[in-house]
Amino acid sequence: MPCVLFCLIGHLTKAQADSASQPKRKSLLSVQFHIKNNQVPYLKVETKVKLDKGLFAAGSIPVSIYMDDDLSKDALVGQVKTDPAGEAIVGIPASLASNWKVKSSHTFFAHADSSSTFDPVSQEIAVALARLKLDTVAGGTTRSLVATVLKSEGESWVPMKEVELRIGVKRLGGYLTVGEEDTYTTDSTGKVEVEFVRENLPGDKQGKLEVVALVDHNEEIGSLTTGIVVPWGVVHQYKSDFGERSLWAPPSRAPIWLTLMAYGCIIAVWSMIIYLFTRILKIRRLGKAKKST
Amino acid sequence: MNNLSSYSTEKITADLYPKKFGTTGRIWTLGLIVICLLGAYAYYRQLRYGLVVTEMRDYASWGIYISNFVFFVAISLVGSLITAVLRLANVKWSTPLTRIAEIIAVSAIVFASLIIVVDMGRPERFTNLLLHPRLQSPIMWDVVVIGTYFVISLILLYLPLLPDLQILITHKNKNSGFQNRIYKFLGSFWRGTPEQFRISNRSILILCVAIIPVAFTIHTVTSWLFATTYRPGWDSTNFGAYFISGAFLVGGGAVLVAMYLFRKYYRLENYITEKHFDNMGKVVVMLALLYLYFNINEYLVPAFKMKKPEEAHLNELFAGKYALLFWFCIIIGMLLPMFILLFKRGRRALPAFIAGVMVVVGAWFKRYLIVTPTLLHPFLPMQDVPESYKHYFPSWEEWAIAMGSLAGALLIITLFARLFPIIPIHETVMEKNEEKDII
Repeated sequence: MPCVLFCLIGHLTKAQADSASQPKRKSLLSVQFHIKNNQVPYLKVETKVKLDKGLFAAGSIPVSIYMDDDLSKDALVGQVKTDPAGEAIVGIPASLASNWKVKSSHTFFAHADSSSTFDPVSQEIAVALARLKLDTVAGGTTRSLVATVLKSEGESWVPMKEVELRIGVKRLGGYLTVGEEDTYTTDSTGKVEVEFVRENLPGDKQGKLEVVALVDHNEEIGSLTTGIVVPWGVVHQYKSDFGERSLWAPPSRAPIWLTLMAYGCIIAVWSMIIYLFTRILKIRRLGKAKKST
Repeated sequence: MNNLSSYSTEKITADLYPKKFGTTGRIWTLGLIVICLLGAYAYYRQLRYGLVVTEMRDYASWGIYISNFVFFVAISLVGSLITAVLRLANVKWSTPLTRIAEIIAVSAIVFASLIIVVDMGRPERFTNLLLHPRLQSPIMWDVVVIGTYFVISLILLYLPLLPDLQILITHKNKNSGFQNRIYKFLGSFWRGTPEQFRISNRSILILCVAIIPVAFTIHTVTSWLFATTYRPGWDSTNFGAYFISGAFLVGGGAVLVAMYLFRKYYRLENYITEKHFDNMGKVVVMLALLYLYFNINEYLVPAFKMKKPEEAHLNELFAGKYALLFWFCIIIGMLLPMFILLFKRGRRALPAFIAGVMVVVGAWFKRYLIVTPTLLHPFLPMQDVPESYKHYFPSWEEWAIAMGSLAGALLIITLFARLFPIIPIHETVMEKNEEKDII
C-alpha cells in the first residue's frame, strides 16, 4: 500500500511538473494588404508562435483567405501554406475581379488551421482602395519629385491627407532617401514634393535610377509601392578586367613583376649552370691538349 | 678517419674501389628490381584503366603519390646540407659522406620528377607544361626548380668524381669492359693538371654556393603548392621553413642509414668511423630540435585558436582516426631518435642507424599526414557523394607504384655504388697526405 501511494504521489508530482514546464503558446496570424504600381494587389500572410518570451516563425501552416464574404466559396481568395519563415503571399484571383472593382473598400478574412505546433486562429482586415502616384516636377532648376495619395470614393478618386510615406532610390539591399527627411506627410491635396538632393549616384548604363514612393502598413489603405525611372544618376560603364595582367590571366598576361622575378631568377641560375658547362668543356679541352702534346 | 696517414695510397684505392656484388648484394638488387617491376606493372594498369584504379576521388585528389613526391623532394635536400653547407663551413669530417649525400639527392630528385608524372591522369600532356608555361602557377615554379636542382646536383656529383674516374681508368684490369667504356666516356679527358684542378675546385665552390638557395627554393616552392591554397592545415605562413627543417631532418636520417649500410657491406669501417656517426648524430639532433620547433608552431598556434574549419582537421590528427599515425610521426619519427642521439652511446653506429631509420620512416608518413587529411576536411560539408569519396586508403596499385619508386631510388644508389667509389678516393688520399704533412 505505501508503495502504491508513493507511486501515485510520484506520478502526480511528475504530471504537475510536466504541466508546469509546458511553455504557454500563443498562435498569431497577420494579414497585410499590398499594392504595387497601382496594379498588382496581393496579401501577405504571416504565422508566428509566441512561446514564453520568444516569437518564432511557424511554417507549414494552412491559411484560407476570403474577400468580403467570410467562408463563402465564391469569395475565396486562396488557400496557402506558410513557408519555413512563416510567410505566404497570395494574389487576388481573376474570379474576384468584378467584386474588386464594385466597392471602394474590402474586408479580408483569414483563417489558419490548427496543427500540432499551431492553434486555430482568425484575422480580419479592412482596406480602402487607394492609389499612390509618383512623378517628377517639370521646370525649375532643381530636381524634384511629387508623390500623390488618392482614395477611392464611389466612382471618383479623392486626395488623402496626413498619410506618411517614404521616397527613396532603390539600392542593393534597401532604399536610399532622396531628400533630407526619412518620411513625409501628405498635405490637404494629398501631395508631397521632395527635392532630389543626391549627387553622383551610380545609375545604369544610361545613368538612370529607380525612385520609389512607399506607404508602409497604413491602417486604412495598407502598403503601397510605386516606382519610376529618372535620368539623374551617373552613367555606370562596366569595365572588364579580363585582358589585364593578373595572377588569374592567361600565361601571356602574367603580371610584369612576376615575369621579371621568375625570369630573372631562371636566367641568373641557368647562366651560372651554362658557365659551369663551359668550365667542364674547358677541363675537357685542357685534357685533350695535354694528351696530344 | 682512423690513422689514414699510415695507409698507403694503394691500400686506400683498394679499399674504396667499387666492388662486385656479393650474395647479399645480388639478392638486394634483385629484390629492388622485382619491386620496381611490380610498380611498373601497376603503372601500366593505371595507364590502361585510368586513375580509377587508385583510391583518389574528388576530395582526396592527392594521395600517396604526392606525399611520396614531397618525401623525395625533402630527402634530396641532403645534398645541399652535407656537400654544400658542410664544405663551405670547412668541415673536414664530412668528406666521406659527400658522395653518399649527392647520390641520395640525385636519385631522390629523379623519382620526385617521375612520381609527379605518375600522379597525372594524362601524362602525355606533361609537355604542355613546357610548351605553354603558366608562370602564375606554383606548379610551374616547382617544375622549373626541380629541373634546375637536378642539373646542379648532377654537376656537383660529377665534378668531384673526375679525379676518381682517372684512378678507375688506370685500373683497367679490375673493371669489366662495360665499366671501362663508361669511365672513358665520362672522364678520359681528366689529366689531373693543376689548371684542371683549379677550374674544377672553383666550379665546385660556385656550385656549393649556388645549390643552397636553389635547394631552399625547391622545398619552399613545394610547400607553397600547399600553402597558397586556402585549406585547413595548409593555410600557414610557416610552411616554407617548416618543410625545409623537416627536409633537412629526413636527409640527415637518410645519411645515417646509408652510412651504416655502406660501412657494413663495403667494409668501410676505417673510412666511415664512429666519429662520423657521432658528428652526424649531433647534426641530426640539432635538425630534430629545429623541426620540433616548427612542428610546435604549426600545430599549437592553430590548436590554440581552434578556428571552426581547423577544428575537425586537428581533432582527427590529435585524437581521431589519424592520431596513431600522427603520434607515431612525432614520437617515433622525431622525439625518440632525438633522444637516442642525444647520448654519446646513442651516436654509435648501430643505434644511430636505428634512429636514422625511425626518422626516415616517420618522415614518409608525416608527408602523408600533411597531404591527405587536409583534403578530407574541406570547408563545405561533403554531401550527396558516394561513401568512397569520404575516405582514402591507397589501392594496391598506388602502394606498388609508391614502393616501386622508393625501390627505384635505392636501385640508382646501389648501381652507382657498384660502378663508382662511394667514398671519394682522390680526396681521401689528399687528406691522408695532408695529415702526414701535419704529423
